[in-house]
Amino acid sequence: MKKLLSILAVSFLMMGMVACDIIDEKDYIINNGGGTTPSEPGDPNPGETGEFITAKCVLLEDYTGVRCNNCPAAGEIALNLQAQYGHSVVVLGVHSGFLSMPIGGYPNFKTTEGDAWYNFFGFDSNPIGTVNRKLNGGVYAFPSTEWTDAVASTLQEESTVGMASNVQYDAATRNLTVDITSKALAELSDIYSLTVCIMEDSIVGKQLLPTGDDENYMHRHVFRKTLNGTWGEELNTSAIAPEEQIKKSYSVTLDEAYNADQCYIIAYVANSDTKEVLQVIEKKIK
Amino acid sequence: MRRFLLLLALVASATGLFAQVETAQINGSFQIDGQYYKVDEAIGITSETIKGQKVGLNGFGKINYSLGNFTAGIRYEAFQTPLSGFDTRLQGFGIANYYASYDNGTVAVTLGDIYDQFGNGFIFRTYEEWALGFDNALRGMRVIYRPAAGVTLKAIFGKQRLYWTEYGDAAKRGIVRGIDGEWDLNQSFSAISSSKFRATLGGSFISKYQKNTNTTYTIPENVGAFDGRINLGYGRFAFTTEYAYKINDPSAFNNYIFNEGQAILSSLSYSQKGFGVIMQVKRVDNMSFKSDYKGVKNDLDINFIPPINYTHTHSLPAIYSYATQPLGEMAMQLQVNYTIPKNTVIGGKYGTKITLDFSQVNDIKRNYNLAEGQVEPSHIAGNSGTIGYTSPFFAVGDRKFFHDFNIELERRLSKKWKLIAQYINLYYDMEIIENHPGAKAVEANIAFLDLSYKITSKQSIRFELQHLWDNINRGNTTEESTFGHEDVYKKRGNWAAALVEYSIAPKWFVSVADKYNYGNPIAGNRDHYYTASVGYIKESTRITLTGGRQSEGMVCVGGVCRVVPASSGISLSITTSF
Repeated sequence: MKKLLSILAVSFLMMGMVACDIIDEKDYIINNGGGTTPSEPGDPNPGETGEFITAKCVLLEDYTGVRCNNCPAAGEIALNLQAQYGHSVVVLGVHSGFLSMPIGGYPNFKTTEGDAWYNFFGFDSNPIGTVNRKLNGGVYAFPSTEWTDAVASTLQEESTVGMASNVQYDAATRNLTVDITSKALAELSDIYSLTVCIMEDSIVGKQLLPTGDDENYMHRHVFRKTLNGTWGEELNTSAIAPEEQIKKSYSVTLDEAYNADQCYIIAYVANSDTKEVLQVIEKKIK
Repeated sequence: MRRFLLLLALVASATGLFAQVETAQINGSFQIDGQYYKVDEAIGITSETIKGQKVGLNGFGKINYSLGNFTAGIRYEAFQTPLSGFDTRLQGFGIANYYASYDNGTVAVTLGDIYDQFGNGFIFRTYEEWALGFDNALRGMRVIYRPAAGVTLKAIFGKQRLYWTEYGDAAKRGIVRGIDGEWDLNQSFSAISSSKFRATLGGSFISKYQKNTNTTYTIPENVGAFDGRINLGYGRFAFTTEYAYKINDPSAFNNYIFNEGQAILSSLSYSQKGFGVIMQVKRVDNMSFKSDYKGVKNDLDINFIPPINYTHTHSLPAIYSYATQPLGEMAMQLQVNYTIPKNTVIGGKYGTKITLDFSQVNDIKRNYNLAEGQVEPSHIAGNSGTIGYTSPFFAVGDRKFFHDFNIELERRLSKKWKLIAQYINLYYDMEIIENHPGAKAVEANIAFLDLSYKITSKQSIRFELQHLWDNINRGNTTEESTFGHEDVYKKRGNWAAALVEYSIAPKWFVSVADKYNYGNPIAGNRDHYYTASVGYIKESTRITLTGGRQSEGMVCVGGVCRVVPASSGISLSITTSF
């Protein structure tokens, strides 16, 4: 009985010790308001042509919808992360799901690939995201409230792949040539795929907000298409030795509907089986 | 886990060996809910909607073992894949819960998964609700100590369940710890042990600890909440009140505001044979309390806000069930039950039961802290990184979330016939309750008749007729005006429903039913939702087979709701216990 009483006494003492943390109003925001603000549309050029990006970068997919009133807030979290980590965070805004249906004067950003990813990842509502397409408690879904932590911890991971790009665009013919070279930084024993996407940034169009429709909303990081299939092209059939390089080239005509001034190539190497992205790079085409 | 099971087996066999005088008991239950989904384009279910998921299956089995003062149990769950409308994070299978407990009457110790609540649950309640796919069990330890008659002290600590997420994953949730004391004065003092006067006092403290990993806001790592309660009774009267307070707790759910939280619930009731009245008032202000500040939906709720609304069981009124709003609500309820005595002119030969119920929920009054020229925040809780708003304690907000006025009559017409009739007047702020911006509030009138006839002592037949009149109906909205907001019109407009159920007691029942949304403003949504069911019951086993269409709706238990999407197919449910 004495033992139990002491357990109880310790419990009460513990409660007393875990004083509540009451935060002073001036400290609500870290660094006295120095929190990140959404970045302006600009050139997130990830590096010079041919230079290998070997530091760990993260692909943050923001599955969004033009009729999803909660999605702009999630988009803002993604922008904050980009502002905080710079080019280490690559954001892809994938319009898919019921709330991305372009009915009622909303723009159509839906894509076959985006819908295939959305379905494969088992999503059923927006906003939702993936962080390097890693599993989150057995599922691919990362609610936007978890992006900040997940991106921060993923950036701490060891980088196993380096990537370099060479992108050439001919404005007259709209011909786009993309060379992506992937380099193993450690022995890679699984099968890996390279996926190359076109992303168009800062498209003005209608979006549903919590306060109603905004006809002039700026849609950021809109995924347009892949150049090499929904799940990309396989890079290897056997293990890749450290420092081994694999180069892939693609050539397409840029769709007339896309504004070439705002188009980017996003390329990533992923494990073909688990879908986890090992490295991602982003390059403006002009 | 393996180590735990081994320990369980050892303890079980040891107690079996040494405690010969005691008899061990094993009990448990199993349930399997399966559904086969089919494409039904008429109600918008395409192959894309079902995503190739042809079969959904939710199942559990639990076994409890008890011997003398010792009890232990495990619960296995499988969601392969979860039924449509359940959170996809349930996908998986395994032993979800286990516990072992020893209780000698004075001291009780439980290790493993703990379900408990302090008072009404304002600052702590862990529970499992199968119909919602909800389980926030606390995995840890609980000690209960009863030092004297009528006095109960509890201490708990642990981490809560989040679907199948590993408990070691510190980023996913914090640690919950708390204490509670309750004192039943009638048990403590023999002088009042059989008095008409009854009194119980209680108080609790809960603290959660979670490391702040947010780079923008200073999230408090220790968040404390306090609660005090009094239950008083005198004869047929009862009065209970409970108040809770929580310190600053910015979270994704409250849009990272730093306001404190408060809740109060008071209830006054009177009851005697054939007559009862209860009046309740409640105020909730910023009381979402989760063990992960990033948590969304109902994830990792530490507390529970009890609803004070009438729970409708018939299908049409249940379309618009109220979900409690932890961010703020002012609510009241008045319910009167009266039985008109039998063998009177109005009461008839068998007497007539009348229930009158009115409940209303408004927002709390919110004065947002806005700088000059700043517009009203788009989030109801105010702007992130600020106090959010101030709110006078007794002021009622202008915005009405919900009201429900209903009158129900239950009367046996003859030895064979029994009638239940109800009229309901409902107001439902769809924009807030379902988070559909731009949706107009539902102002509906609903009536139903439920008539049963006893054919023989074993066979009976029951008819249900229901109708719902909506303020938005075909004719008063154009199809074009709904474009872009189809989702909020899915269940709007008038509905009619009918059901026939035939039972052969105690084993069989068969029913057919149809719900028809004939008044939907969008022509393509004017659909029939027909179902046919057959059920077989033997002892404690129940098997139900249902085929047909399920309309979109909400399933709510205790004010906690989940959306049920429309579906079509065949479902099978088997439950058994031993």
